[in-house]
Amino acid sequence: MKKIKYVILALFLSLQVCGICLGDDNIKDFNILSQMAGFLKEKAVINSDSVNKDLDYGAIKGMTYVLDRHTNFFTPEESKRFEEQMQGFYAGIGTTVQMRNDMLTIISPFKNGPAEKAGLKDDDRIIKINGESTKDMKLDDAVKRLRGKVGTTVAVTILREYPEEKTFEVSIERGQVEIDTVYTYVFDNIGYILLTQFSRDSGVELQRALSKLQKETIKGVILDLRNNPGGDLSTAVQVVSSFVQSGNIVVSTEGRNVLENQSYKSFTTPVTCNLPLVVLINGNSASASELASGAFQDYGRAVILGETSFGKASVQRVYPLNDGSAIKITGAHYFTPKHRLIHEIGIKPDIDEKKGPVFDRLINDLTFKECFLKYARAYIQKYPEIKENELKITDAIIGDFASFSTKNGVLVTESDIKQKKDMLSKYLKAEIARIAFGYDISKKVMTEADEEVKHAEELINAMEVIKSFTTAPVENIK
Amino acid sequence: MNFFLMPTAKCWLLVKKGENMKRMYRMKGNVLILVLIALCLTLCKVKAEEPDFTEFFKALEYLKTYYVDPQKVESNRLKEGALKGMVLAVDPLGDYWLKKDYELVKRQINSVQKEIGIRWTIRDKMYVVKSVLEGSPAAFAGIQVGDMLAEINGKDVLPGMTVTNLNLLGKDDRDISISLKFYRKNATEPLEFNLQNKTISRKVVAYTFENGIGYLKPVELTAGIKSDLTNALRNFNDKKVQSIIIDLRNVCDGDIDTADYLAGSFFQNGLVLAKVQDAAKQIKPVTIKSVEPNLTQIPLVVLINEGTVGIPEVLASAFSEYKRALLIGSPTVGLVERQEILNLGEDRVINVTTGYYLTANEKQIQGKGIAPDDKVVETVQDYAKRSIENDNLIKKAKELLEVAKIWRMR
Repeated sequence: MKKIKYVILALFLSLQVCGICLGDDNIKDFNILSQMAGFLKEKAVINSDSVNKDLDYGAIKGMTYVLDRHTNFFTPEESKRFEEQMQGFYAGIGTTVQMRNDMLTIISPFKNGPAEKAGLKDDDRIIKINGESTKDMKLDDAVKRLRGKVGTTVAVTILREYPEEKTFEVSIERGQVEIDTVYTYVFDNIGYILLTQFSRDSGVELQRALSKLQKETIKGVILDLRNNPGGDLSTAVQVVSSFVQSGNIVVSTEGRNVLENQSYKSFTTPVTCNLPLVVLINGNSASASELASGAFQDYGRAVILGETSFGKASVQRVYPLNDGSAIKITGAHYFTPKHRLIHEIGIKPDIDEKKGPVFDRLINDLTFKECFLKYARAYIQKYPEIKENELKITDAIIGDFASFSTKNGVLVTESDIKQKKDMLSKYLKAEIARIAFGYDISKKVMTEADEEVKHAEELINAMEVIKSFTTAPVENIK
Repeated sequence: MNFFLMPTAKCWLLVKKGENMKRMYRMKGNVLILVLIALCLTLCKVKAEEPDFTEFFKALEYLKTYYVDPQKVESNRLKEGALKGMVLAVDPLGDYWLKKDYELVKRQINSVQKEIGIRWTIRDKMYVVKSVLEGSPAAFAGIQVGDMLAEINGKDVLPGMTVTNLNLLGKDDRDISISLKFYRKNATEPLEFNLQNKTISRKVVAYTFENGIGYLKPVELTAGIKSDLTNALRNFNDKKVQSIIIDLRNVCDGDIDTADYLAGSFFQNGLVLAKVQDAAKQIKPVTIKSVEPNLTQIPLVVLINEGTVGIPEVLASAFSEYKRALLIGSPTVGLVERQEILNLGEDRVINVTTGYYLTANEKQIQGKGIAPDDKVVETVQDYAKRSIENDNLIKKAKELLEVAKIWRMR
């Protein structure tokens, strides 16, 4: 009986899907699945009302385990949610939140996002969401409650501790947020551009930043793609186009489905083909970041500095199954202009360097117990008129901060001061800058003290000397 | 069915009033359970349809047609993946191997000495530390029960990773260093630990304090410790110890036979140690067989904590329920699945939860845990520094045994 059922099923499938079909032998190969199902139902503790469905789905999931991490199975509910997410039905209130000092705390609400528009600020505590206390709520659960469909509202009760303590309730309309993805600073005549992800508008924003930089006399550009998870393919092409002459292949895709075979060329944009360029990558630079770095590397357009990138450069397509469930399948791989496979290999930097943020227990405690924050607030109350260029962290301040923190429950010893002076000074300066001048300046302070950025600056200065490296015209690579 | 649940060994703690009443209720409860079992059995027979794998075959077709690398979608490969997926769909704690692969795993479990000392479970789809072996690299690094896994060696955890895979992480004859990143409640950022595998002593620790109190710590409750255990207990017997402290803190590996063997010295023959409720909701008792030396009259204190998991929890439940020992420490979490290794045909092996342990009184332990009689919580600092001579819980236990001695002389 079972065999007949499978043969019928196979016939049905071969009519439905044009492509290769599973032969009779092939179906027999999978008879063991029924055996397994019977065995599990007899022996295992089963806490489900829909065990047959679970086993059917489980078998699909199991196949994805032996493939790659981007080939996934979606149950009907997951499939629906995935589609909604892709179409942007779901949104939050436009802010990052963190559990700090056991309280749900707002961190840098996005510019013009719902939270900022509703008047919420950095370090505000969300003590209730829709009347429900956030005390003892897990971070994930809090985020789930803050998120919802675009246009719906969520009521939050806010505790603000600074400059005076007050509690108030606001209602926030959830909406899609355009996150700033490009940050630009100039350090010693070198332009620094941080690209946090390749969103739809990042390419245009990057070009705006570049033309602004070019009005100043800069020696070169550092493009920071560290921790950039990727994004739109077209944005990646645009970013590369900003530095490479038009008509060059940026990336191509190849798969078994003819639809998957495509190549993308750089297009005409205001280009800066000659400006020395250093691209920073790390193990979290993925997808579009890797395509861009790969193209720059193949054309010799930039020095790639950092650590080998993540190695995610594949294309997925979602195929619906019968009952609303679906399978997302990796159908193609990206290739660099020189036809290098990026997937699972990553982009190897021209110059290795790993000095990224190392986790430090003391810094974690000082952040978590909010010693930096409390000290920065007290400092600004003492020196309300301080200017950005006057802000210096002296040994006396570090000493004062150490005894302040020790009083506030985080022991900072003499040897901590000796060993971690630079780190303490960096974090303290950034926090004071944040309270006094806002998030952007604080980020600049952190970037300025970044070892890899310093290294990139050295490289650009070196390129000044070895001009020939980048002033040669970029050639077409076939 | 065995209704005889009270110990014949004399309780050295006071029997509370109302115990007889409780016994009556328990009898009624048992009859009720019998009726329920009968009901369940009839219900089970009703749902016996077979899955038809409709969605599976469609997904298989798509993968074979469109997956980027044709070699990776070869039928045998996908089939093995599918079989493992089925086991994990039914039991997230389960596992699946081809027999030849299982032989390697078995060898790794039994004969490889070096490890990092973490035991894992799954909670809310996260891999969670359920116990940290004492004296292990993980314990020295400060990894705690409840830590949730974020990354292994800088990489996300792959889907399809099994609890067995994680338990064997770092179990290798070579020197291996592993970096683990965890989420921890109340930590702002994930915590990273670098661990180097090493040989952890699995020997039974036995010690006699001056005032005639014996201290016994089995690091695990597996068959390999039986002779050590007997030697230690004989030694106590020869030295005529007045009372014994059994330390089950952070003990998580074990099998029911060995737990029963240990109980054999402290309980009368024929008592029920615990019960097992299987997949068909049938309940079967595990009875204690007497073992020499006979220490049934010796007062006991048992130390437990959140790292006392599985079979050691079952053993602690017997000491507690029969009031055979005073339990001190912190509550256990209640993870008492009975996992079995089963053969599917000749070539395949699965590991799956086939039941849960209940207390002798058929109380649920799973998800509930065992509460200590006297709650003494240790801090992480205590943990790292303590030794047999300098350990708050042992001190507390000695004090209580001293009080008990005076109480009994009265």
